[in-house]
Formats: sequence, C-alpha cells, structure tokens
Amino acid sequence: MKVSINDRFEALYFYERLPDLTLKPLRIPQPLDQIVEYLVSKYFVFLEERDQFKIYECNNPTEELKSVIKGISLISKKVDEMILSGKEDEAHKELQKVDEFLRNKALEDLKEVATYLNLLYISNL
Amino acid sequence: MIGYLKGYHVELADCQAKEVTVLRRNFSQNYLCVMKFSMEVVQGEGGEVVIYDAERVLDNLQTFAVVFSERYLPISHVIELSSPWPFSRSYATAQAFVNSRLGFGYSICVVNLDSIHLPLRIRLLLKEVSDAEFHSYVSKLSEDLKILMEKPEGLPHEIVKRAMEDYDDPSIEKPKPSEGPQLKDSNDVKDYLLLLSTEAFLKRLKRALDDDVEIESGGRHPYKVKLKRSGKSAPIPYRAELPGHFPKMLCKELGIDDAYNITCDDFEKMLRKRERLMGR
Repeated sequence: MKVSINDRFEALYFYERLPDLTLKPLRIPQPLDQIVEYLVSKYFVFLEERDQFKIYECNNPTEELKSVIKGISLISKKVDEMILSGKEDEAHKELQKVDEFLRNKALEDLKEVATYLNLLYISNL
Repeated sequence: MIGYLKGYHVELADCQAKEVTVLRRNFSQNYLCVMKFSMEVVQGEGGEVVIYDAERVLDNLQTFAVVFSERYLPISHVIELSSPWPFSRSYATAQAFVNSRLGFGYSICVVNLDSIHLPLRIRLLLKEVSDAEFHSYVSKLSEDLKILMEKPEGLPHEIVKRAMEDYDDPSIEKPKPSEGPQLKDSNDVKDYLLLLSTEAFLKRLKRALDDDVEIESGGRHPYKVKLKRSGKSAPIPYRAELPGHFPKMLCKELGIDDAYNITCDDFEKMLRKRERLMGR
C-alpha cells in the first residue's frame, strides 16, 4: 500500500496511491492531518520523492489501517465539497468533533478510529 | 462577481517610488492587512528597468491583482503556475488596464475558484514610456485584441476599486506602521503570508518550540497555546486568515522575549523561515 504526501503550503495534500498529476490531490484538514502523520510515521516507510510528493509504503497493511485511510479520504473529500459549496463553518464544526474524539482516544486502537471515522462520515457529513 | 469571493490580495506597484504596497482582506473580517516591500531596479541599455517578481499562493475563492504605475509597460512577461503544476483545477487569469491611486495602469488579475491552493509566479520587467507611447499602446491593444480594456464590471477593476475603498474606509481596521511586519522583499511576503492561517501558524509554532509548547483545543477558545517553560498561555482563534499583527501580538502575550531571550521580531522571522529555537 502506497500513499503520497506534500505539505508545501502548510496544509497536507494527499494521494491514496502514487502522485497522479491528472487528478487533484486531497487536502487533508486539521485534525485529520495529525492522524495521517501518525499513521505514516508508525506503519509506513519512506520510499522516494516524486513531483514534490513524498511517497511512503506499508508492505502488509491491516484491514483496520486501510479502513482508517479510507475514512480520512472520504471525510476530506466531503469537507472539500462543503467548502466549495460555502458550508465552511459546518465543515469546521464536524472537524471539531474529530478533534474532541482524538483528545479522548488513543490512536493505537486503529479499529476504534476506523469505526469512529466511518460512522462520522455516514451520520454527520 | 466579487460577492462570491472570500477575499482579495491586491499589490500596488509604484514603479517610481520602487515600492509595492500589499492590501489584503478576507471579507469575513473587518481588517485590512497592509504591507510594503521594495522593488528591484536594474540599468538596461535603454534606461532604467523595474523588476516585479512575485510568487504567491491563492487559497480558495481568493483573488489576486497587481497594478503598476501609469506609463509603465512590461517589456518581458512571465506568468506561470508554479511547479510541478497548480493544485487548483479551477482558476482564471486576466490582464487589463485599470484605475488606481497609481493612475491608469497595467494590471494582472488571477482568481482561484477551487478549494485547494493555487501557487503562481509573476515576473515582469517594466519600463517607463512616454504618455503618447503609453496611450497608443493601450488603444492599439484595445482595438486589435479587445482584451486589455478596463471594463467597469470586470473583476480586475472591481477588485482594485474595492481594495482602494477599504484602504480609505476608517471603519475598517488597519495596522499602525509600527505594528506591520518588517519585510525586506517579495519572497519575504510569500513566507509571511503562508504563516497567517491558524493551521499553518500552529504547525510552525510547534516546530519552532518543539517540546516546550502545549497546544490545546476546545473550551472557550478554539485553541490555547501554553509555554511549559514560563507557564504563560494565550488563546488562538480559528481563522482562514489571522490579522497581520497576530504573530507579534502572541509573542508578546507569551513573553517569548523573557522565556527564550529573543525579540518578538526575531521570533517572527524564525516562524517565517520555519526554523527551530534549539538549545535556548
């Protein structure tokens, strides 16, 4: 499993695979970027830099890890759509809930993080 | 058109004074960020040439315009979307002649309609021409190409007009000259502007102070920053764009000078350059 990350503009831009210049990268908002940074440092190894994106790889990703990455992508995509349609405040409120969750739970329990993110995506966003 | 936008970034390039004034506002806030930096000048074969070289990053629904003094025309012209490619997939650029406090001048306008960043670079070499030459150039372009005309409803005209009105409006807050950041050139402006979102500011603060800082969220304020060394704390609002004087104000509130024996100006420069305060 490979992911590509660029934080050139202090925001985290992300591909769930190798960089693809024909598609725009996902902008991962705060505090979801903290989860991505944590996961990358713990489960991934740096491979190379391409097109100003750092590519990281995880050889044997667990289903929970895949699920957390998927949840982050889905929420980020939805937040992006909300921002484009002018619902920035609503998006920020949802992200504050993630922030609260992160302060009370340990990120080590990937199953719980995955369940929470997917539930949040389905119920609130 | 302007009603759909979140803010503007207008640069008034006074080619005679060799100084650029940056006016920047997020429409959700009653605050106008004002900054100044110097333009470089070189002596060419045909006389003095003024260089305008700026790398800027536009966030979503933000518009950029640079206007030059009347009678200054570009002799070399580069507008590029920074490498490796622009992140934004929805943007527009335009050239026009618009009225500002610098007279009827050449301008370039860019708008980002996407939710991710649009990095761009504009590099122009400008030369002063005579009145007759200037007006013949403008009318020739207007007649031949029908593109470089001032249209009252056009975005470049609207955005520059709005920036001038905000600058003269006493009800809109502006920094006092002593409060503004000390910027030496156009690159410094780029570094400073990237510091002004809450997200970026917190990241840089954490990077600079490492284990000496605690950042808490929730409660009465979106974020609270606490220095472990001195125990001093300060709130941080959640903004797409913090006021221009915010970094310096926060440094004073946290007593950075007492805790780390470094001036607020020097600390702000460190944040701009993403440096660390190691071993102090």
